[in-house]
Amino acid sequence: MIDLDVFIVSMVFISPILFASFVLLDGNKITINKIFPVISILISIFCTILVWKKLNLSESKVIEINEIFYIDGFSILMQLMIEIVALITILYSPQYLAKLYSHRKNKFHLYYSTILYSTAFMNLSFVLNNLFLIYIFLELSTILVIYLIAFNLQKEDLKASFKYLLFINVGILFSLLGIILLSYFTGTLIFLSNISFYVASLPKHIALICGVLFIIGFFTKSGLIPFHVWLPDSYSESPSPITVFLAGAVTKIGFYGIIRTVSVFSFHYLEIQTLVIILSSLSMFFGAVLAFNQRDLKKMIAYCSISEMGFIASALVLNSYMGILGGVFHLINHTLMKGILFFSTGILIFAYGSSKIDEIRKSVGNISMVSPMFFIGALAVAGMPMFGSFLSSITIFLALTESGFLLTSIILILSGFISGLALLRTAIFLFWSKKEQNRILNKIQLPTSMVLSTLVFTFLLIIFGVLPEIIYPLLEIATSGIIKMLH
Amino acid sequence: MGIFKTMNLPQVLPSFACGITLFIYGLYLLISKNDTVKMVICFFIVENGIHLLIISLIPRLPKFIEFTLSLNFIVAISFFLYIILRLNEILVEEEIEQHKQTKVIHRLEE
Repeated sequence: MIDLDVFIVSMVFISPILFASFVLLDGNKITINKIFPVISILISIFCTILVWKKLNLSESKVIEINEIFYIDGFSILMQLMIEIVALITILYSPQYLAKLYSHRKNKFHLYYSTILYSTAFMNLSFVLNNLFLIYIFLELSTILVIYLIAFNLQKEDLKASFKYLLFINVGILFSLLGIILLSYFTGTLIFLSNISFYVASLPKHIALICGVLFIIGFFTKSGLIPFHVWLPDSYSESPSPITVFLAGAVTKIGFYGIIRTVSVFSFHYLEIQTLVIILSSLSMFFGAVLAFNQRDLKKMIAYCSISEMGFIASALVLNSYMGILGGVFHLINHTLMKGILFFSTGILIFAYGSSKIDEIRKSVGNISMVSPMFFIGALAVAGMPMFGSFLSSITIFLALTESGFLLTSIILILSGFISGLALLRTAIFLFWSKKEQNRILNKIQLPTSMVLSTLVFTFLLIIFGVLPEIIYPLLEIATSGIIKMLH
Repeated sequence: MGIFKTMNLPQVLPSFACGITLFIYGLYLLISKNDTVKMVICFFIVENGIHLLIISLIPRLPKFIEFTLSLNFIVAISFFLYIILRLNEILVEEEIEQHKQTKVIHRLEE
């Protein structure tokens, strides 16, 4: 008999795999394409919530099943975040694809099934205990996304996806090398439940080598400077819903890896912490500066994203409750902000067929729905009060200052200001400049599903900013789970 | 250091040395090549290096992990090939188009 706990935990990833297989086999029917993915993700969300309830009831706040599964609050948070991102991406996609990718009409079932498979593998890797298996399923989930990036099959898309595949695959091999070294020197397989004990017992020089290997691997996956080369191209060339999936789910996998490995090393060895803080400061600053010159709206948001991810990476290696709490909260806010910005850009592309700022400006004046949402996204990137990002940024700022990284905290504020300024300048340039040709825009009917998806993210961002106590229980259980793993 | 002790074992010496050499050599080749097919071959070399390192350093790794790791690489390689084939199709089409255009220009000039 299968244990009920194992069944519920398994359904989180089995349900998307099963439904993805249905869609793959018989999915050119529109009803299956639209309904099956949504049902599967809803089942996953339901099962994740059940596991969360179970976790709340347990005393240790960690569920370990047969050395295979290791579930703490952070696993739940990541699963919920990725499921919601996948659900909204799926809801946003049909109208967008029907207009802009009609030449690939007979492959839409592959598009949806790839999203589901990728989500399933991510969900699976978030509950696994063995570091090797975590690596394998994280890697599988990111490789599958290639098909989505290259969905248009144009020259530029294929080039971007080749670059993505090459960097992601080769970069992550370094973290595999780290896992191999770690396993060799400890003489056993490494599990999340015992990683902290084994890392503490390593000789210092070996630990530093392993730490650096993990940093190279997972920083490449997250797209942080200096391993960011793949990120702007893949963001700008992929379909807009997939850009949100990349920003909200795929790059977050890198952060999952950072928390499970690099944070442990930084907890025991201050050199690793300093190295990560230096690299993330570079990401913050250069991401924001490079965003300023971009002519492509998506590339500009991509560089702002690199800057934002620097905030998260710097916070996650601080050995304080406040730092990790801020980092985890910013992880959610980053997903929401990038969701709003990329979905808004997607609507602009839907209406005008281009993401180049100059080309959009020629035809755009006022889009009644898009401009406020884009402004909200830009203000949130700048870290304005009333949005969730303000609270998380200020928490990270305080944690960095408390830990003695004053210069990094100044760079954080400065880069937030610069990237916010770049986005606001573009928003004003696009939406507030007086043009005569604006009448064309009002004639275009914007699909309700696309606008609603963007509104959901906007609503959540504002709610988390005004009433943070709604999200706090999840943040608290995630942070305490991470701290428990570090000790 | 344990690593040097293991290296002295006769059965481990070749695989460890080969593994680390292939890994570094593959990375060097990957950086130095511009051709996409050559890059994929270099990726193969790096992968082989990793597998040899696993054999030498963790000889008792569960077979399930080894199998899924290989599957992972096979999936990666198949995606590489998919992209290269598609790119090739587009480039060939572009070349044909260019050739046609130059023909038309020549005719007009004549």
